[in-house]
Amino acid sequence: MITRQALFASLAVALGAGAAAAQRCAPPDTTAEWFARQREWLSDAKHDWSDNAFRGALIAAAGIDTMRVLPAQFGVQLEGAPRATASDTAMLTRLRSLAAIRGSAWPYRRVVGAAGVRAVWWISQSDTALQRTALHRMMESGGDEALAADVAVLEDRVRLQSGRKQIYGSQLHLVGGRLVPEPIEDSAHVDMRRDAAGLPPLRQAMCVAR
Amino acid sequence: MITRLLVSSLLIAPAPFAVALGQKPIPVDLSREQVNAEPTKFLPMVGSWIVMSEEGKNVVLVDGRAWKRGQPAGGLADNARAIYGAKHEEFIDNVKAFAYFPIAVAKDIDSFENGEISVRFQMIGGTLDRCSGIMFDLKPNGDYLAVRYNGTEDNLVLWTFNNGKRSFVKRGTENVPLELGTWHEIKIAVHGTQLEGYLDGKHLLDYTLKAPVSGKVGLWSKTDSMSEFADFTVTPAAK
Repeated sequence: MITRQALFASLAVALGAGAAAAQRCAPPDTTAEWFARQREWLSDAKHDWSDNAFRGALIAAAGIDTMRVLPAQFGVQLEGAPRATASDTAMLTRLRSLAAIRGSAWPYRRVVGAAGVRAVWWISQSDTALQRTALHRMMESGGDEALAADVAVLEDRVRLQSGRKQIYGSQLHLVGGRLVPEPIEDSAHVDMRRDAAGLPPLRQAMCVAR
Repeated sequence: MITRLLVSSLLIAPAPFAVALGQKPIPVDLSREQVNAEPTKFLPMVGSWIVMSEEGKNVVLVDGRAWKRGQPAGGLADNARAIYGAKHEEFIDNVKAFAYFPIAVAKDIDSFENGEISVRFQMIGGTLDRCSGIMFDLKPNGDYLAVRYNGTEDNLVLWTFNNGKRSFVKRGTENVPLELGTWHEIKIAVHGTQLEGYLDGKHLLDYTLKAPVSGKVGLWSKTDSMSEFADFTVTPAAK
């Protein structure tokens, strides 16, 4: 079991903690189109949502600071299940209930905003069954309702849990103190897939993670 | 005597498709296509289609990274005019309704009615979808049929597209997970109203169509799928 902080180290790095690593290799280009696309998608100032109470509950459960800009998804994280916190429990129950009802009103961006959707993505990673449902709902809903970069990372997690190889190279593990990706299916095209999902090239993202 | 006649008639009446296949296969030859340009042998109607070189062989890539919801290919009007002439405006209106689904029409196949169509494909990616398929029975009004493999569902399915509406028809008898970056083959066989669908030679789909097929054919994909296609071959049945 690893901590949520470790699992989402990449997101913290995106906020500026990776300066030392950045000096040793080329970090992702935050002037590139992928970054701008994510910033646009993640900006709640530019979009409306319909269920403010649900959004507030999700944000509180996930511990998201809405006073800060939502961190971009660099597409690398430590493989493993994050520990559910006490504040997650009630929300996990609520999301599991929604997941169990086919056609239920899932918390998409039009319902809970970008911060709410990021919270769902975050919380669902504590529960193997829930993250499968979350992934299906996100894929079905399309790019307006789910951030493609978050979908990609979640798909890699679900694939590894199913005994399949990952396809975006986002799941890392430690080998002798070094971060290395779990096995990748069709590694020759991994950066093409990452580009399609709005993620930086794997080598650059690995640089940030290290 | 009757028994002998029956046996002899069975002996000279093999499976319908084996009897029907008699004409020479017509491959869509990509060898003279310009790499990194739109294909000329497949006319893009929806989506971004480009010729790529894979290990020295030309293939066609549908690149879902350039896909935008509801947006047909840039050259739709010209390409529609090239295959349907004066009737192209109705085709364009209908194709716009299906702009979720990239299609590219095989330019030199005038009409496919009976026989087989096969294509090799490899899925590369796609965040929402990973689809590769054969489009057939494409009418001048933009209606068509498609048998496709979906890598997010692991299945082979027949769909119809009529009057701006996509409808599920039939799913293959079993799910077959395929790895990204590996080559596979979809084949359909049509005899009258009988349709068969195959994945890597495995017979997965049988369906009786409402009417015999007659129309253009081509490549099919969905939303942001990235797939490569090669060796598209039409083998008409003997008339």
